[in-house]
Amino acid sequence: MESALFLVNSVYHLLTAVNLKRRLLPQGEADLVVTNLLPGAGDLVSRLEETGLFRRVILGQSKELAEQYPMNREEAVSRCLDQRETLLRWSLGEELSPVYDRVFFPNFDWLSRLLACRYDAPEFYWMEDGFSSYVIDYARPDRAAVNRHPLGRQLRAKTRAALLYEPRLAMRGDGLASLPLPKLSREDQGLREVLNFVFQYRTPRDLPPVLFLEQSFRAENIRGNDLELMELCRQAVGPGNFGVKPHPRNGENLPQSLGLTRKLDLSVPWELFLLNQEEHVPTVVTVCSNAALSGRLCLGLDLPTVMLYKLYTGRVLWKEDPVLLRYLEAFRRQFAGKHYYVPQTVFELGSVLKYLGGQYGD
Amino acid sequence: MEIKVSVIIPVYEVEPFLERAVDSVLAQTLEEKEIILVDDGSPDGCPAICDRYAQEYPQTVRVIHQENQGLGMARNAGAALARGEYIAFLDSDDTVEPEMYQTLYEKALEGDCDLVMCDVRIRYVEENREVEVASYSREEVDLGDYIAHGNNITYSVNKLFRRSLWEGIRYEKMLFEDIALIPALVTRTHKIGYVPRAFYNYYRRGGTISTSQTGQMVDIVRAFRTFLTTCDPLYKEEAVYAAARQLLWNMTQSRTLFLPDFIGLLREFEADFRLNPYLKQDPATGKVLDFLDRPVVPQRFILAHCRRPLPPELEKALEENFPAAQRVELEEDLLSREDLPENVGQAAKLGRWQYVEEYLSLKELWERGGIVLAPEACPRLTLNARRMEPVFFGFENTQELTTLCFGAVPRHYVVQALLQSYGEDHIYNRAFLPLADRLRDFLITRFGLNMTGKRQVLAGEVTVHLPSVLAYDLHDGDNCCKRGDLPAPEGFEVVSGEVLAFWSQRLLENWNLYKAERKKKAPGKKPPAPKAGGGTISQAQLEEERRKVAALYEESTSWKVTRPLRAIARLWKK
Repeated sequence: MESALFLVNSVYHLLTAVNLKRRLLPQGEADLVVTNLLPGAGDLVSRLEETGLFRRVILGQSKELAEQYPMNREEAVSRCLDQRETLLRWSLGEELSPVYDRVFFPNFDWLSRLLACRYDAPEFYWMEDGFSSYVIDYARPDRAAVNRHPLGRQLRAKTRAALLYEPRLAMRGDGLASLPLPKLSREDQGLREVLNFVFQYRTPRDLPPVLFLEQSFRAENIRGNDLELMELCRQAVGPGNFGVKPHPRNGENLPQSLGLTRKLDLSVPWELFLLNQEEHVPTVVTVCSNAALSGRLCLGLDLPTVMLYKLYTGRVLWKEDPVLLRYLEAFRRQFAGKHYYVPQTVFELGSVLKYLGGQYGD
Repeated sequence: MEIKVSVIIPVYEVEPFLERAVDSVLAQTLEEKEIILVDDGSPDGCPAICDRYAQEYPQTVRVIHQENQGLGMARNAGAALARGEYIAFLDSDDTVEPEMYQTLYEKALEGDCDLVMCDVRIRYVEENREVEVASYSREEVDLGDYIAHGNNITYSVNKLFRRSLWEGIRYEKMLFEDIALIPALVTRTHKIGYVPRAFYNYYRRGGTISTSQTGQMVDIVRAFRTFLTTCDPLYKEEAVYAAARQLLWNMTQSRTLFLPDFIGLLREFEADFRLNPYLKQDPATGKVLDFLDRPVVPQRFILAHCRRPLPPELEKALEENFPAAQRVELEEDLLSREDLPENVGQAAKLGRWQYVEEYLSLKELWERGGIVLAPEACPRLTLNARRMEPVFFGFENTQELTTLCFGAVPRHYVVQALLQSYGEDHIYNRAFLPLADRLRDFLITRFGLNMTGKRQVLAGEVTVHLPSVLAYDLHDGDNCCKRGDLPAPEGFEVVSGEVLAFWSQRLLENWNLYKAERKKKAPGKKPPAPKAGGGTISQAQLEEERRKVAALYEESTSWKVTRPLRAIARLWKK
């Protein structure tokens, strides 16, 4: 019987992994590693075990590895790779199967790289991590010291393909094949039930018609005008029609403290909300949150979405990386659908929100 | 008595000056003269003054009363009645020196001349100074050289004409009738005499045709055109050079408002100007050729009005300020054009007529250029100055642009890009947003327009003006077009609160800048301390100071501009 190992670091990965297991390996044996990079991973692990979907569900300690062994420092890279088996055992707490046919990993992080050192036989597949998977060649030698180490390079060497929801948008230029991932489907009742159970989903109440998805800029110490943009949106649609979904990594809910939003009952993952909510989905406004794209990417939905990346003033990757910007443009042109807006000025933003809010009369 | 010289004086609204003019002719040393006063329907006391002179001097003075037809027509009427061997013209607010006509007449006889001229003394009345302008450099006139290099060639009034020369020749009904007729007449006159004395006193005052600007003054272009087409072909090169000198002066000094029209004229005669040998030898005047390369917005007004008539106020403003302009009215019937984007047809079905009008305007602007006016616009003559800008727009305030008035040369890429955007699947078309929104975002994203409300020139040729230029009249003399549909009482102007705040801020910034500059120039200098007045100030002194401050406020622009707001505030208080 075919066996597989899935690694997940985020909700997005987990949704993809669950869907992939159900669609690709319905009868196969699969183990799942949920790392502690995912907030609330402990609770998720026990509920995932209850679903019986996976043979084993393991809580992985990935956070500490990343902190202790910076991948761009050669000495740290060597130390980590020298004690790879010890670290692997420490990270996973229990032994994995001696053999897997396929390993699905979402990031070129330590856990994935150490597994690549251990397993010779299986094929490795890189699962989509959001739009960065379309544009960034994480294994490029000049990107980090780990990519120049013979053992650090193992993961890239063993990776057969990148699995993307929209492979035609890939522009990493790394020579790696991109294969399609099956999309999450609202029609898949079983999938919805599993995920709703795992995340203890309950329908959010009283969501505003326009929802701003905050990003982790403050957590990453990036200074920009996202709060000003929120205020502009609030003014354009009216305070009662606007709310902000805070980013968990930012700590304090600053938009709420500043009076930009009331507290929203929206703790469930955005993708899961979209999977469940077939009507009255708010218009999403965001600087460049992956969640805003994921409705289109992993569910194939054409939802009203307003992307503000052209109006954001902070120093962020898509401003400095032309490939990322090219990806966003390609997404807009080839894939985004009729309800996807990228205003180029704050005035245009006002017009778009008024239009979406029906303030122009039709 | 055989009349040697008939002096023709057209009369119109010159009550304070008429007697001075007539008396200066009566005082001529030449006795065999007649004076023909042509009352051109003057509405003041002039007709009575004319009649009185006719009564007092029945042998010398004759009067014609006619309906107002303009200076040229009045002169024609006088010339038709003249009996003298020679005729002369005098403007009724000028004077002539006592020996003028006798001296010129004797010179004419002596040389058997068809035309004799003298110099002109220009008296700048307000400035209390005078200048004598010599008509030519030598007493003996070389006709070709005079046409090319002489002065005062366009004047009717410093010349004595043989009456027979006048047969079959008449002034046209226009302003600048002198320019249209006299220089061409000079080219066809084979013998010209010259007396180098300033016999003619030309009084230059404010508010006269020489010093004020009206839309009808575009006649000056027509006048030069007539000159160049009716001059003797034998002297065409000299005539073109003479015209070039005068045009350059008018284009750069005297009538800059009509610069685009002058350039149009230069283009009509481009071969004559470019190949002119005099211009090749005279780099200073040759600069006129540089203007041939300047882009000019055609004087065409594009007026789109679907399902609504043009307001009579707009028609009147166009008639008064741009009598020679072409008007293109765009109406609903143009919607049958095959190249119409789907969105425009859809907008028409939904009754979004502003969207349709703006599209049609842009289409016309792209194809043939011109100035687009919304039906609410009230254009002024100063709009002509904008025609030297290849593409121009204006701020409505610091957040918006206005589409009340904008313009472009034909086939300009900015207009093309805007036009093309009507075919795109975009918010502007989905929501049928006004052109002002589309334009603002376009200029911000493509040209980096700063939404400051301040004048900017983008990519060297796209001008975006202050709100005072194409939206509101802030009484600073800059306004070219304002809203005509928001009437204000006499002496008041309509201005949005936002623009008023912006304008006040701007004045303050300018004032601070001025103070900073002044401080930079004289760093140690402190403002003069008030004079000691024995330790006390009288009540009268205090009152005088108060009056000065109040007067200063009343005269200040910002105070005037805020007057309507203050009036409203007073009403509210009540």
